[in-house]
Amino acid sequence: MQVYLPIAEMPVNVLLMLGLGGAVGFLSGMFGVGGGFLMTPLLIFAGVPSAVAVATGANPLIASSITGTVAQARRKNLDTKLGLYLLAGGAVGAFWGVLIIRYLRQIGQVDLFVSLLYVVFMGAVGSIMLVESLRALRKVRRGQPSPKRTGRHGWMHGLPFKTRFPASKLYISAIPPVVAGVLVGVMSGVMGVGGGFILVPILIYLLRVPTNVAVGTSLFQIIFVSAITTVLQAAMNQTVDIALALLLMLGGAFGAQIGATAGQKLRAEELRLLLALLVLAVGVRLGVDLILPGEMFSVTSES
Amino acid sequence: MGTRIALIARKLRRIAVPAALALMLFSGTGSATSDIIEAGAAQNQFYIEPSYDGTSVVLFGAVDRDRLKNEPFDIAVTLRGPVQPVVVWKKDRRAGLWVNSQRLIFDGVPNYFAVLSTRPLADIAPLAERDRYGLGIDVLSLPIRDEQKNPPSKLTRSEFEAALVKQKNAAGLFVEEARAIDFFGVSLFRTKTFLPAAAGPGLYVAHFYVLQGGKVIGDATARIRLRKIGIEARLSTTAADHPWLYGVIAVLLAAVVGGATSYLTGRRA
Repeated sequence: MQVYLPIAEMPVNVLLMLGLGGAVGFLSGMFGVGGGFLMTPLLIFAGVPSAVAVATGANPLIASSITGTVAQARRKNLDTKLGLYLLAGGAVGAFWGVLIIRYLRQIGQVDLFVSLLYVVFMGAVGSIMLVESLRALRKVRRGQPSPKRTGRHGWMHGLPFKTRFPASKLYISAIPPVVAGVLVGVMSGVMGVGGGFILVPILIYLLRVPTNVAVGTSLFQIIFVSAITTVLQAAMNQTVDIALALLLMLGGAFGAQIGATAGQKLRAEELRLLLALLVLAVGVRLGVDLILPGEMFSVTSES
Repeated sequence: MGTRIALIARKLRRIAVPAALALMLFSGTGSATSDIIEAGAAQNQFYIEPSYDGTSVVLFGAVDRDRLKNEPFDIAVTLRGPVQPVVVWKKDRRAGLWVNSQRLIFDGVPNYFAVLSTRPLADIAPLAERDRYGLGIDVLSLPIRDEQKNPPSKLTRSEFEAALVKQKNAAGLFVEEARAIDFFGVSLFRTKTFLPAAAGPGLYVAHFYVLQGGKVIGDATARIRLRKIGIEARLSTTAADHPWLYGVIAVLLAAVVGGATSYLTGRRA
């Protein structure tokens, strides 16, 4: 069954798009990340023009992260205060991101830049998580209890503007959360992703937020960052395809439920290991394309 | 034998409408200086609805046999879509990575271009004549933007043109088909081409040419319009005319879907 997309100006297979949304929703329900890092590349792979894929990628994330946040909030895994600090940075970052992608499209380096970002971030994040989760799993095998969070003080604790985040049981400077927010916002604008795959590790490993709270809070801020990105993309680039977004959302709503159930059957360490492998796989795949090109020429309609 | 007759009857019925229209065309202009070829499209308006997945375009025409003096002739029909700028990038290896390095902007590339003819184009007319009338993808004029820095050499240009044509061919957007003209009786002909969904909305112009002895001796034109209607039209005009509002609608829609999902799953839990 085909449907013609009004903005992308191409027909797509309804079942394929529902399935694509469902697959991404499954992962987001399982790992608590938005899944945008998979959505945009998959859309491009399905033949959607990259401008439309990047702009539309963020739209269904609003729906899936609302559902995710509500589910996490019911389990008290949400630090609203921390979320708002992240968001303050995220709003600024998203705006920059949309401007950056506009400029990159003019000089023709969107694909390169987006791929490089994916490769660098996903390679780094994936490797760190892989090493950490393997170490944690080995400890679990040996029958040692998973390590308790210690009140260790790193360089980050020397920064000013200290404030208390009760839900995360933290007393840290306000600067790192805002900076993390800006970073994630830029990525959202440039790559059409919510940035959860970056934000969750930052919250866990750098800010030392408890894993559950990190997932809930990341989802919370992704709602707003992807909402801002969607409005900005629509206003500045006019490439958001509502019909496509709706298909992805409906698929995602189903996928997320199945993913959440599947996620509960796995240990936290195993979940992190799987997510690490997934992130690494996407990163490596894109890296290979940069080194071995399939096609010397690329043809685009001018934006 | 009986089935064969039925088949012919069906074929005749299919051309009945075009034939009637062609007769009307002739009677309308029926004078001493009647054209050597007259032509039209079976349907002038096509609409893009949610179920749109490309469309067949049927073109028909009739030639004046008397003025062709019963000598052999050829028909060539071109169908050309709206033009748009296209950028072709060439990759280069820099610091171990393949990077877009050189580009050429083509200013007026038809998003669809088909040439349908009675025989292979090379057999119908010499290159110079085909070039004059744009009969063939190889002679399609692809102007490049003037203001570009470092005007490219002829070699580079042809390399970029080849890449563009290859991509359009692969997408079914540049089509060349010989023996694509069906004759019914002595003067009436019909041809058909497929407009893939990737060929967007706009005005499509069909040019019909009669050739004799390698020369174009008569031509005719028909126009076809492809446009979005209903929800497709409403969404794309809103996106273009009220982009902020469109963005807010996209967000609200997602919020409703997300909220509804939460409500449904919350009730079940």
